[in-house]
This record gives sequence, C-alpha cells and structure tokens, in this order.
Amino acid sequence: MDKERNERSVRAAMGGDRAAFARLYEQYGRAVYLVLVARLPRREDAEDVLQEAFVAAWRALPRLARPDRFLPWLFRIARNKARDHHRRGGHDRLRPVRLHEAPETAAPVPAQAPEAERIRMLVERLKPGTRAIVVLRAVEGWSAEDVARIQGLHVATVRRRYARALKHLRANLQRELRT
Amino acid sequence: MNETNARIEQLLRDAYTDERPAPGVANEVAARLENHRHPSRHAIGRWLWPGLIAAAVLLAVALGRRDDDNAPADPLADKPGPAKEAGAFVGVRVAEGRLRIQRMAPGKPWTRVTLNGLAEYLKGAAKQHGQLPKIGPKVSPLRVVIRADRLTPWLHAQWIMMVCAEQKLYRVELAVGDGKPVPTPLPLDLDVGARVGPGRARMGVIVETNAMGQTAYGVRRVADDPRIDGVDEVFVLTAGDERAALRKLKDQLTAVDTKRLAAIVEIKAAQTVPFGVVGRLAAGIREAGYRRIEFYGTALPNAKQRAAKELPEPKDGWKRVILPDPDPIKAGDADEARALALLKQLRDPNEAAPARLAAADLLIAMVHSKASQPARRAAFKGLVRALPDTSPTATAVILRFIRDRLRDEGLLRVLVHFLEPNESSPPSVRVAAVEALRRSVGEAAMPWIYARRDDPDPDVRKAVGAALVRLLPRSAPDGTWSSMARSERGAAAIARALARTKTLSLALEPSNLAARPIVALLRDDKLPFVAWRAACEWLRANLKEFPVAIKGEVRPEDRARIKAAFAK
Repeated sequence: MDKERNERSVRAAMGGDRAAFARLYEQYGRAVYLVLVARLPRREDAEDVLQEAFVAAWRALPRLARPDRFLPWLFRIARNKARDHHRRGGHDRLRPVRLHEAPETAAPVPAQAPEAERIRMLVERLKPGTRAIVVLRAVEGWSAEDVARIQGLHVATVRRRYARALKHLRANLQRELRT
Repeated sequence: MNETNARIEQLLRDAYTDERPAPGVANEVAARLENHRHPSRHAIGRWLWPGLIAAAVLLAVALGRRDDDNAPADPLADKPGPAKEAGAFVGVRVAEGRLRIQRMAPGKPWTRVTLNGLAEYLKGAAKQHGQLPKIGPKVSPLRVVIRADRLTPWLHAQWIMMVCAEQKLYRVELAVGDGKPVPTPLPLDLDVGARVGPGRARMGVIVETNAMGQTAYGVRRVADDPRIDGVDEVFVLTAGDERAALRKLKDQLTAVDTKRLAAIVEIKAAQTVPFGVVGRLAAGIREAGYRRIEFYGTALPNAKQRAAKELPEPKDGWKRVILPDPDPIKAGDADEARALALLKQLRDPNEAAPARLAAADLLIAMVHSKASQPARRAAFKGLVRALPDTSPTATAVILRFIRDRLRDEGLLRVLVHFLEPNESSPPSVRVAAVEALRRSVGEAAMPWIYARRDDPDPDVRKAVGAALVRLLPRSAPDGTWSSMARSERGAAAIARALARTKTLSLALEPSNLAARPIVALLRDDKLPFVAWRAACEWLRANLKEFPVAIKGEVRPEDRARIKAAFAK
C-alpha cells in the first residue's frame, strides 16, 4: 500500500474532496466488503453495510484526528455498522429456519464441486475474525502488519492465526479429496 | 509445506476473484454523499447550535442563581427525598469466603470488609439515605445487591441478610456470579423468618441436601411437611438432576391455581446449600409469576464470626479444596492424582463416582472460580480434551456443563461429534448430546438430530424423536411445498404425494384420506430432512386430530412422533 499517496487522499477527502474519497473507496471498498462478508450472513447485507460505513466515514472524516490511522478507523466504523446491523435484527439467530434455507443434511462439502468452490466453503466455516484475516492476506495480498493494524491485533497473532487457518484448510481439503 | 500453502493461497485468490461489491454500491455511495453536506465546509453551522445551547444553559444557570439568592429558605430543603435515592445501592460480593463492598455507585472500587465493617457501613449509608415515608418508618430505600459465586454456602448470604435486616434495609437482591440480580425483598416486619399472614396463599420450598459441586437436585411435592408450618403446599428439592428439578419446580409453581402476585413462597435451604442453587431457585420462582419470596433465616453471626476476615465455612459443609497449584492440567499426573485423592476425602454424594467424574467436577469448579483467566481457560481446554477418553457419566456431565457455559460458541462441532456411535459415545452420551443440541442450538440443529434417527440404540432414537417433535415450529412457514426443490429426492417424493393429495383434497380435505400419502412418506427410511419436516408440518396444519384410519400404516416410532406433535 502506498502510504503517502493514501494519506494525501485522506487529507484531501477531509477537506471535502469527493474525488479523493472515491479513490479511497476504489482502493479499500473491496477489502472492507470482504471483511463484512465474513461477518454477515448475506451478500446483500454486506453491501448495505458497506454503503453505510462509507457514508458514515465521509461524515466523520473531519473529526479524524490522525489521517495516518485512516484505515483502522474505517474498518472500525465498518465493524460497528455490522454490529448495529445485527442489533437491528438483520441477523436474528432465533428466527425460525424456513424450509428453503434449512440445510438438508449436515452439509458436507460436495465432492464434485471444483476446488476453488470447495475451499471457499471451507473458509466460510472459519470464525469471522480468522476469515477476515485469511481473505485480507491471501486474497487482497495485505501484509500481516497491515492486517494487524486494522484488526487491532498483534502482528504475531495475525501470523499465527493465518498459519493455523491455512493448516486447517489444507487438512480439510485433503480429507475432502480422500473421501 | 510452503508449496502447499502457496497452492492454498492461489486457490483462495481464485475462489474470491469475483467476490466484490456490486457496481451499483459505488453509485449509491456517491449519490448519498451528494445528499450529505460535508461537515468541514459548514464549520459555522457545526458550532452554531452547540454554541447557542451552551449560551442558553449559562444564562439559565445565572438567572437561577439570582432567583435562589432572593428566595426564602426552604424548610424541607435538608430532608432527602426518596426519589433522589431511588437508584442508590450497595454491592456486597462474597467469593472464597471473602466479603467485599462497593459503595453506592457502580464503578466504585470494591473494599474488603468484615461483617462488622459491613454493618457499620450499612448503618451510615441507611442514615444518609433517609426512610421511605410511604412504606413505613425506619425503612430505608437503599438497595443491597448480594453477589456471590455459585459455590458460596447459603449461610454466608443468610448472614449478610441478617445484617441488612438489623440496619432496616429490606430491599435485598441476590445475584449469582455475574448474573442478573433477582429482587428478594425481606419481609416488611424486618425479620427474615417466615411470617404467617391471613388470607394469603403460601407455599414452601425446602432445599434438602447439603451437597456442593455438580451434585444435583430433584423435586417432590407434598401436601404437608413438619419443617415448614402454615403453608398450603410444600415442594422438596432432593438429589437428582438440578436443572431439571428447578425447571420442574417452576412448572409446578406456574400450574398452581392461586393469585400468584399475592402468594408468598418461603424457601428453607440448608446452610451448606450452594448459593447458586438458591439464586437460581429464586429467579425461577419469579419467572413463574411470584413476586414475594421469603427466606428462612439463621442465628445472627456471633462476635467472632462478625470480626473474622474470612467468613467461616458452615460446620456441616464439605471443605473447600484449595490445591497448591490450582491448575491440575499444568501440574501433570502426580498432582492430578493428589487432587483426586483430596476430592475423595470429601463428604460429597459423588464420592463413589468414578475418578474421572471427580476430575471433571474439579475442572468445572475451576472454570467457575475466580482464578486468573489463563488458568480458567486452561481448565476449560482440559475439559474439552477430557471428552473423548473419559467415562460416559463424566462425558455427560461435561457436555451438560459445556452446553450451559458456551451455548453455541463452537459447541455445535463438539456435540455433533458425539452423536456418532463409537467407543467414546455410548448411548447415554449420544442422548446427552442430542438434548444439548436441542437446548443450545435449537431449531438449526434439526438436520443433525434427524440424521441420527436410525441410531442402533432405542433410547437414542427415542431422544431423537422427542427432540425433533419439540423443535418443530408450531406453524408451517410460507412456501413449504414450493421450496422443496432444493432436494431432488425430497421434491420428487413430495410432488408425487402432493399430486395425489391435491386431487383428493378437492373433495375430502381435511379428511384422513388426504393425509394418507403424506403419512406414507414418513415410512421412507431415506426420506430427506426437509421432506420429513414438510410432511410433519402439513399434517399438523391440516388435520385436527391424529388420523385414526391410518394408524396401522405408520411405524410405531413415527406414530409416537406424530401423536406427540398433535399433543403439543
């Protein structure tokens, strides 16, 4: 990530420059979206919350004390919005399961699915925090330091969780292949 | 290894190539930004209203002061009004026999005191907060929240209540661990003993055993018991399953035909009964609709007990085990064996239970204890590790504990694992796992439970049937039939059944004949879960009573299941 250029964009956006803010959206929108997808059950919810998060960030930008901490701040807003979404009943665990949503069996990963689809299903079984680490590191190509910064974790923790998640995915994938 | 990791990463990248927000989202964000003024451009607007409000407040304060200077002195000004103190409380916490108080505001530090210190503080606090004129003289509005860990002997809470009664503080609340406080006001005559009032229904609850730890309770209902006089009915909690007993008691109290709000429930618990049991009992009684709960008191603590830095254990209680190293997992086999030897010395009804059960008990007590978080976490991990190789009874206990403790945080996997019949999952464990899944995961666990309906053990099959019936929602969701397309076999079976049903139902619905093909579906051993569920829901929604004519066509276990569904 080009930190200086990002910081310039952040400062410009703080001054009301919409084009700079659009650049920030272009650069981080997908990462925020991936983290939200890891936390929310439906893609549409993630898109709604993504919108909410960026609009809230735009409104709160002038109050951002440290432009160099823009990224953790943005992800914090997104996480809070996701939590609000939960509270509003966007994801009600006790809601009766409708038939078309009910899993037919214990939902083993279908053996005939292509490998990429299979690994995706395995990722969706990880814990939300770990899932976010995996997608940001592997898919978005972020460094452990950057992931740690936005997740509010220690770098070593991120590395450890990532390594453990890869090991878990590898083992499960092999097991699926064997069966 | 690195190569494999690189491959996994590549797979992940491939899997998420198309995962991005829809393009419309960016447009929507842009549109919404248009509607929102950017705050930096409207700094004046941003500060104008707060500034005006601040000025108005300052003005009002200044005017108020001037009015106060001119106003005559209010003769009642020194007297504290009850409304002002309505939220005031003193927190009293008991853990490991140590008493701490929190002074009248949340967030204040906890101070360690003796019973004497508590009495002295309460006296001052009660004086400061005046009395409740509406209720009667000498009654303080101050609340006292007694918060104790689960294994604290009931005697300690009784002593604190006695001290509160001495200081005319009647608004006592009980809270177990970090749980919600349950209001249990002392009787207004300021005596914690039972008081017979004319014309009011009274019920008694006797907590009989004095065991601690995982020892459980049953419930017995008797018309009369010499241990409590002057009550209409008595419930006696005895050895058995504690949670089941409390639930049963709650059900029985709910069923009692009386004006519950006015009725009084008296609780007589032995000194050594765990505080957690009485706390949960009080909460259950309140949930059953009763508002007046009274406790049988005890002798006032003597001078030695009042001055003791640690509250002495009750005489008949079993000793609290404090191991040199409170973490037997870290301590290794030798210390674990020592811990077990210590446990065996205790006068606990579990004494005869297998050593593994005792170890599980110890670990559970540790998880509940006030030990450091890493120690408690290690104890919990030890419990989970103990699951596959422990005895069936201990496994059932651990599963029950995990169910209570964790709800559905990663619990599903553990429980589903125990549904499979193998050496570490004998029928009793599988029954416990089914029950735990039903209670902690609920409706979402139905597919896993349903998958075990062909279990070789009849008890497990019975538990599976009962769990499914209890989990089945009362009303069929919309689109029950049309949403069956996800399962090909299910859809085909349902479609066949539906075709026949629709034809027949034109003339006969809701006759038994219409249900015949649906019921026939249930005989299919390979019937997918969604199809089974839809069939059950259809039967319940469309038939008024169990179809007598088709009784002979249904397998006995299905018949029981359908019948139970109707009964529900």
